[in-house]
Amino acid sequence: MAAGDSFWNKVTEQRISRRRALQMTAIGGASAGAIALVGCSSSSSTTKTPAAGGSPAVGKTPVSEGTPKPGGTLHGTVSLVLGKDPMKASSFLTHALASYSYSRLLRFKTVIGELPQDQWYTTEMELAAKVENPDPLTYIITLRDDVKFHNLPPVNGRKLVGDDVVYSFDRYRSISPNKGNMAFVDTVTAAGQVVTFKLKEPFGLFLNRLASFQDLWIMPKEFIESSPTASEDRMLGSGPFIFDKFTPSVEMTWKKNPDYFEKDKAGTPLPYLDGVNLAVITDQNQVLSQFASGALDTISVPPTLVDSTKSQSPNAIFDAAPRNILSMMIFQPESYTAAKPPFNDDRVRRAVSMAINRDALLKRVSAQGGLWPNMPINAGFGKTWWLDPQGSDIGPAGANYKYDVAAAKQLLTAAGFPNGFEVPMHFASTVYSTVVPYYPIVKDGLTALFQQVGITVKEVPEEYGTYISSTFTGKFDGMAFSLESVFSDIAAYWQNMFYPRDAGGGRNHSSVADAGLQAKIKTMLAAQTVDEIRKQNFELQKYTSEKMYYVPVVTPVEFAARVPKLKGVLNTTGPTTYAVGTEGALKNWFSA
Amino acid sequence: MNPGKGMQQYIFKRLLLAVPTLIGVSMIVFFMLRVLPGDLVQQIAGDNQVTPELRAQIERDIGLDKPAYEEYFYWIGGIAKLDFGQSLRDKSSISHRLRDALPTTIEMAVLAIITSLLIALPVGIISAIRQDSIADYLGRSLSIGFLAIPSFWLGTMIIVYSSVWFTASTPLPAEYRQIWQDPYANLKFLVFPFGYFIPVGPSVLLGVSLSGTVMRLMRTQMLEVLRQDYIRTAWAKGLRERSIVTGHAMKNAMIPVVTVIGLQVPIVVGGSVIVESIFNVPGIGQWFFQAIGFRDYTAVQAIALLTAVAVVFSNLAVDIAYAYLDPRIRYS
Repeated sequence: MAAGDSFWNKVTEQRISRRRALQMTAIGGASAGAIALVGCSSSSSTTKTPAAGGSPAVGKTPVSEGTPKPGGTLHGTVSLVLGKDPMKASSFLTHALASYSYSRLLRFKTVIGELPQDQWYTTEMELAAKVENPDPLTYIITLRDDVKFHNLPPVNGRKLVGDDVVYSFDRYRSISPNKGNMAFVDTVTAAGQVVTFKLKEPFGLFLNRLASFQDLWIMPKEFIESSPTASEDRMLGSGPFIFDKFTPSVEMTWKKNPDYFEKDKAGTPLPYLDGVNLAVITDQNQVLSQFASGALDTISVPPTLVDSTKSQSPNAIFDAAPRNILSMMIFQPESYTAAKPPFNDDRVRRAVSMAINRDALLKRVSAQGGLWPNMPINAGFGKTWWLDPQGSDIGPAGANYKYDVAAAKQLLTAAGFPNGFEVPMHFASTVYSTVVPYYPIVKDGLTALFQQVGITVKEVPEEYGTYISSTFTGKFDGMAFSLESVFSDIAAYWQNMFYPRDAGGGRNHSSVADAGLQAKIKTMLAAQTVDEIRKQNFELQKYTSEKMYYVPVVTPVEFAARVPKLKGVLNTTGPTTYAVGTEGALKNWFSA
Repeated sequence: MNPGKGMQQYIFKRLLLAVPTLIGVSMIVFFMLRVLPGDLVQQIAGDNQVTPELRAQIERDIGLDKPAYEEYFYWIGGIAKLDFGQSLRDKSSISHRLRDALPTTIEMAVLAIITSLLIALPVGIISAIRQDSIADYLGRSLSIGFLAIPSFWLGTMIIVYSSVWFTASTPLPAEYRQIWQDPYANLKFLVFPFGYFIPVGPSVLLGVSLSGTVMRLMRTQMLEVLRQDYIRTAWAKGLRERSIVTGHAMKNAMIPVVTVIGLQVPIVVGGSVIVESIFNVPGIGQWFFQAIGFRDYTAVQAIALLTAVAVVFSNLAVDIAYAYLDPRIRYS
């Protein structure tokens, strides 16, 4: 080879033997390792332990934030868009998006700042101006006179009337996967602005059901019937924001509805915002990065990422609330239908519950810890509906929630399993970990905890599509770590989880067949006062806490982060509601 | 025979052969999806109990009430009109979505391959012509590093540390523009998302991960070619190193390399899901992954078929490139 006489040619052409190269690599690697050891011998630890007062300050929005200023576009994020028609959807993601453009007859009460627990999941008017309940089977709802649909063809801003409610209900009853939630409704009729609901049987929480984000959204007939795919192509309703455009995997945007019927106390029309832009982002690191750079105004923050979000965005305000997704252990249906051991014995089920160290799991998941759910009512319902397993009111059943390895082993011995047993544990290996980031962390913790009492778990991961059509529908063996759908009234939990599967028990994964319990649920739901329903609801929770047909796990506190200039945030400490359009963005405004 | 005419005939035959190949692929994808475990109807119904009437309604909505073979022919008929149907999940038009997503992924793939070549070829050649020198060891270490470091980890580090150190973030997907709408914004999104022409974008990341294999292969092939008699003759004739390497050795060394690049095309087209997720690129990779999880048959079928088309055409392009690189190769 021609060799130039330049320095660089000499360097680049100089041959190095393999032995020499290995020597140089070994010396370089050892040096790098030594530097790394010195650098890593600091006090930082990779183990996350919540430091005392180390969690970021939770924003308790002050009573007065100043005078709201109209204007600005809210930039948020959504991980998946699964459709635009809330009537056809089973996913809460679609219902959340629907709430920007559509309205309900009632909605759940919100305040700016902290909502007292005794007001969680209470209803307030939205399209309804007045509600009368002359007898247990009749509800007469008078609609507001000033509600118009969005000023776009084919509705062109016309007034919303009673016939729209009738049409929407008929459509809901015809196509909604959730229609079982209103199976007790007999007829819906309208005369002008007055809509009459006739029930087949008394249902004391009917108004909560009308406010539910899963059920009755009011949609105009001429829009729905304008084409077979109209409701999937866009949204057109009477909500605070007018649907603008959707670009798959990119963004969904809305503009302010200038004719929205609500005004604030000062008479300023709502919403204050000019628009909402939700970027479709699936990667959590990308979400945090966008928030840190100021491209997003508000995000959900998984509990395990609160510290890193705080370090990237030190000025952000964090709001915290217990989330309402119920995590639980479910048992193979043959336990109840065929008395198949081991889970046919309630001593074994109680032992499973006592093996769960809920406080330890919560510490692993969230800097602010969390609460213990009851079965089937989650802590996210607040103390007016949820019987705290750690409180005194639960009585002797509270012992079933306490972490007690010795007592759990005694129960197993008494049930005929002195050496424990081996059991498969099914879980969803995809989707859940995206939507509920603490799910895999808790799952791993459960495996270790069960081992302590002699229950050897053989993990059976299932891809979400397989999980939802097999394990979730009751086709599994052993046990499963499951998440329950979110409902916005306690009745839906009781019915769905304990009624027969072919009679409203769509979430009765284990085919629990307790006729006495079912009768008591029915009696409770027929009660006409909310206080009476609450009282019976607490008694039922004591009963199911004894039986442990399903074993509830944990309810972590979860966080949302927002930029300081975003004001008018509703329910900073309060129940999770997925109707973010009218129960979240409606009163947001920017101070700068 | 006229080489040009021979090439045309060859291309024509290959295109004809592609038709039964693609039909076979379409049938395999279509019918295999339908035997996947998991009930699509239950999936669409979500957490709700599927009563017989709800099942019938959903099946009617999504066309599952017909026999599978009838569905297949209906689908093939639609493809002939470039109508890929509707998403079973959200009823959106697959064709419309492909119109936006496919060019994005193809562009990202092309940029990734260009990046990989820009890195791999010079480094591979220098490694070969300066065998066992510092440059060679560095080049080989680099290629091993690129092969070993997962692109998703590197991508995550880029995203996280840029936001921590520079309070910079990649552009939102809302800002993505196709190359014919705004070339600068488009290239910024895919190549230098943090500005300042710092090339750490998704295409570059994908290209870096591909370059390791190409680099090593290029080095090996160059070493083999440089040992050939005709190269020795060229040296003996007194030709300069540059003209020997570029004019004589490279073309012959490139033939296996072109094969590998052709094999990488389906990987970048169909397998970029992780990089697309991290950088929020609105391409088909993420969509494909989600569609599989949600059993969105029509979307999966469409994307799988288009990936097959990409493979067929990239292989054809590779074969045509052979003829250009080596005049001895003739197609008849």
